[in-house]
This record gives sequence, C-alpha cells and structure tokens, in this order.
Amino acid sequence: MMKRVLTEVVGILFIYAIYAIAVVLFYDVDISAPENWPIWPLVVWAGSFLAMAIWYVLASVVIAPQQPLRVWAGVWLLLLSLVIIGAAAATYVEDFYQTDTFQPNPWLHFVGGVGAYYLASLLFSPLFAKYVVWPARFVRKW
Amino acid sequence: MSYFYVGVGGSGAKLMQALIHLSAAGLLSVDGGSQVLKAFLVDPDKSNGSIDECKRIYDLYNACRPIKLGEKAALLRNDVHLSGPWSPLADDRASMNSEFSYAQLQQVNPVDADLMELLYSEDDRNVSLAQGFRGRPAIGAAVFSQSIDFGTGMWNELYTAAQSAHAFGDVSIFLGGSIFGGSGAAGVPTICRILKEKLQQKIQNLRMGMVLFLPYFTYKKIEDETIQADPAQFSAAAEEALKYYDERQFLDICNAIYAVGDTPPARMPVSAFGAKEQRNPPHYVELIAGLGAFRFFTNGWNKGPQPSDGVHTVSLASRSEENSLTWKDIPAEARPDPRLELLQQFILFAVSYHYFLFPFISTCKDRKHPLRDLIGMTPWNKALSELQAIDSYVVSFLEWLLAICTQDRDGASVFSNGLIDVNVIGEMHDLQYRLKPVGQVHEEKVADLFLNRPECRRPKIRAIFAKSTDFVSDQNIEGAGMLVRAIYEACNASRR
Repeated sequence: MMKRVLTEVVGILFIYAIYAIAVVLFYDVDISAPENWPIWPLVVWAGSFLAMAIWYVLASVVIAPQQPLRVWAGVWLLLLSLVIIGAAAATYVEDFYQTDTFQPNPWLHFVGGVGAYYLASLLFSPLFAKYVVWPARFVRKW
Repeated sequence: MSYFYVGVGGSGAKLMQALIHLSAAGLLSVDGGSQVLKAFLVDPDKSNGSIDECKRIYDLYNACRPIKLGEKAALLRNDVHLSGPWSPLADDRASMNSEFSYAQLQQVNPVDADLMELLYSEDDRNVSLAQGFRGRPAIGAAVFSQSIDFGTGMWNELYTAAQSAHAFGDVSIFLGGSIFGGSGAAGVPTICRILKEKLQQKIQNLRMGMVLFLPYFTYKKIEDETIQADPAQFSAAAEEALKYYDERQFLDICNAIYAVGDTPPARMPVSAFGAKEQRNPPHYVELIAGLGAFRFFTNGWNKGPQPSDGVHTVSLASRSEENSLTWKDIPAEARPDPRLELLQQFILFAVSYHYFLFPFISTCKDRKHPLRDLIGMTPWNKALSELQAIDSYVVSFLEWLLAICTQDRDGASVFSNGLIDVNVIGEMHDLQYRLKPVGQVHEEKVADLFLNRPECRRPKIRAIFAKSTDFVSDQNIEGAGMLVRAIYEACNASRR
C-alpha cells in the first residue's frame, strides 16, 4: 500500500513540476530573482496544486469507499470548477494589470492549471477514486 | 484423518449448527489442509425445528463450497457432509407397543412381554413417539438398541465410510446430545456402545469421543401434555445419567468426554416438545461444545493415555464470572489461541461483508472499481450469484452469533455478553434481538465490535476496503472467490 501511495504522490509532483517548468519557460522567469516572479501564473499553479492535494486527501481518508460514483464525481467536478474559475480570474486580472515585464499567456492558465489537475487526477487519484475521472478505466493499469 | 459426528436429538442438531459455522471459520484444520467432516443426525422426530435449521445452514454452507477461494484459505475450506435425520421409529405413529409388536409378543413370548410391562408403564408404552422420547431415555434406549442396522441406510453409510477412511489415518467418531432429555440421553450412550462394538473389530485406529450437554436451558411446561420432559427434573436426570456413564465405564470406551452446561439456564422462547416448533435458539454452550469437538478431532489425543490404559485425565474449564462470557473464558490451549483468532477474523469478515462490502459490490455491475477488478473476466451474473451465496451463509452465521451472545436467562440473573457488542449488528424487536438491516450499521461502530480486546486491534472498515483490493496469490482461486478471499484476508490484517 505504501508503494502505491508513494507512486501516486511522486506522479502528482512530477506533473506539477512539468507545469512549473512550463511557467518558467513561457514567462521567461529569472529563478534567481524571486521578487520578479510573475504572480498570476504562480497563483494558478498553486491553486491547481492545492485542488489536487485536497482531492487526494478527500479521496484517501474522508469520502467513504462505498459512496456512489456521483459523490466522487461531484467532489472532483467541484474542485475542477474552482480551478477553472481561478484560471479565468487569473487570465482576466493578468490582462487588466498587464505590465511590460511579462507577456500574458492566458492559455497556459487553462492548459497548465486545469490540465495539470485533470491529468494528475486521471493518472494518480488514490485507490477508490482511480476510475472516477474519464477515461481512467481505460488507462489506469496500476 | 476422517472426522465423523453423530448428533442425537435437538441438542445434537444444534451442536451440528455450531460445527458448520466453526468449519466455515476454518477451525477444523488450523494447520492447513482440507478435512472432511461427515455428520449424521439422529432424531425420532424428523421434522424437529432444530434439525430443519441445521439442514438450512448446511445447504447455505454447501452453496458456497464451489466458489474457488484458493487452497490456502481457511475460510469455508472443509467439506461437510450431512446425512439424516435417521429415525429409530418405523413410522410416524409409532409407540413402544407398535415398535416391539407388544400384542404379538404377548402371544409368542409372554416372558418378554411381562418384562416389558414390568419396566414400562402403560402410558409409556402407548405414548406416540413421533415427536421424540419426551424426556424418557428408558424408552429411547430400548428403541435405539433394536433399530440400528448397519446393513442399510445411514448406518451403512457411516460404517462404509469409516471402514474406507481407516486406511488414511485415525478414524475419529464424535457423538453429541443432551444428557437430560429424551432422544440424546437415550441415543448417545446406546449408539456409542453399538458403534464401538461394531467398528473396533475392523478399525484398529478408532477414536471415540462425545459431548454431553448438561442442563443449559429451560422452558415452560406444555399444557395438556401428560408425558413430557419436565425442566424441573433436568438436574436430577443429568445427575443420574452421569452416574450411568460412570458405572458403565464410558471413560474406557471413549478417548474424550466433554460435559458442558450452564447455570442459570437460558429460557427458550417457545415451549414445544417436537416438530417444527422445537427450534430452540442457539446457545454459547454449543460454541464451547463445538470447540471441544474440534479439539477432539484435531488434537493429539493419541499422545496421551489411551482408554485401554485405564488412566484418565480430567480437564476443567470454567469462566471467571457466572453472568458473563468473555474471550478469556473460552477454553483455549494457548493464548493467543489460533482457533479464536480465526473465529474473530471470521466474525469481522461476516460483519464487513454483509453490511458493507457485499451491498457495495452488488451495485458495481456497470461501474469500474478496484474491488470489481478482482473478479476479473468472470461474467457478472455468475460472480454476483456466488457473492450472494456467501452473503446468505454469512447472514445465517451472524444470526447464530447474535443468538449465542444474547441469552434470555431464567430468573433475575442477566447475562452479560463479553464477546461482541451486540448493538453493533443487532436491534431489539419484540423483546428479542435480530440483525439490523443493511444500511443501519455505522462504519465507526464496527471498531467497537469486539469486546475485551486490546485498543490497538480495533477494526476499521475503510482499512478493510483498502486491503480488500490486494491481489491474493494462491492456487485454485478465481472470480468472486478472489474478491471474497481478499476481503477475508483484509479482515485479518485489519484486526491485527
């Protein structure tokens, strides 16, 4: 069981690490100067990661395994909608407060924030939630 | 090794119920390997409610046997064969007079007829025996000794099976019945002697044992019945019977004799002297007797003195408090006793399976789920019917468990059960406990299921769910059997 949990956690961290690298590359971030990091991509990244962490904890220890599928899917969709709202808000605010330092990348908020949440939960949801996200039943073999 | 059990009368049938449940829990062969228990029921009242219940449980158990649970599974491992009930009576309207052809006897052999008249009153000779011997072992002993025929029917089956079994090791025959009633009191010693005389010539490695039920229940006398067992006389009858066993040197015939009883006696809810109404609820004394039977079957009695040595060992088991029964009170050869561990694992399995796992899995027809994955490619309907068979049996086990933990006792004494918290799975209905419906048992309460167990060993349903998804590596395991086995193993891991 520990091996399975470890695999899932490492997998989630890996996906969010790639997302973080994408942010660095697309915003051309100077990692050595944290004071100059773009705020809104990081907010979306952190929000998406937090949503995934909440999903993982809820699915692991809070939601009863025998709950019907609609409960699991409902919780997952709720968190997904929060990530989408967060990405949309970040896109709007980023565009509103546009500066010369960073060129806005609104698509990255959706592809990165929402995509990372979707991909991480598709591939690395905990045991009883492993088939909740479509099309996990076809791809989850571990 | 072959194990044979002969259950006589209602108590013998009730002990058989316990033996089936304990076999299902894997107690018959703790060290592994599948054993066969061949059981034979004897009762003049073929429609006795306790026998009907025993046959019902047997059918439920056997319906689960084809499920492939793996070769190392303790769960439902043993083959149980049940034959009977055999009745010593020729027909349903039999009486002593008709069984011994009294009218004819008076003509042909008046001395025997006079002897019969001397030993038995007219009422005793005329009373219908269709519903048992009504607490008159003297009638039963005479009827049994003239009607057992090893050439036909059930006795031939026992004789043949015992003969063919002796090539593979010891042949152990265990008898069970009450000492204070009619059928058991008459049948157990009579059948024991007849079996010993018949079999010991052919089978050198024959071992015999018996459990004698001392008074452990009572009931109100049945109105308008002149001849019936009188509960007030049970103790006196038991005392006389024990003297009989001693004087007739049954300790030289048997390798082991277990005598179990209880005081104050449990009150039976329905007073009846036979037929379907005589369906007395199970009692924990039958659990103790069942453990004794398995101890006899599987223990190394051969290492100790043999009956022929004239040396006997008396082992006493009692409980710490008269009004309670805890895990520590159950006789065990070691602590922790692997048999009790298996029993607890089976109890947890039954509760988890019936109340949580099976109701959930049965909704997974069109849902992909890690538990469903264990069923593999087996067609859903086949898997579901196997899972349903397990559930039906498990319900019968839980009903039995609930009954032995909720005794209604005679007098002011209240029984305090210290094995499981009956309120986790049971509820009061018409002053009797019954199982809660599915959905009414709370997941968190299962942690408190076992009483008087260490705090660290509180079972958790979520953990059982999680562990149940673990693949079990074994031979001859597939389909629903894989899932059931995984749940069973999860109950062991969660309990520890």
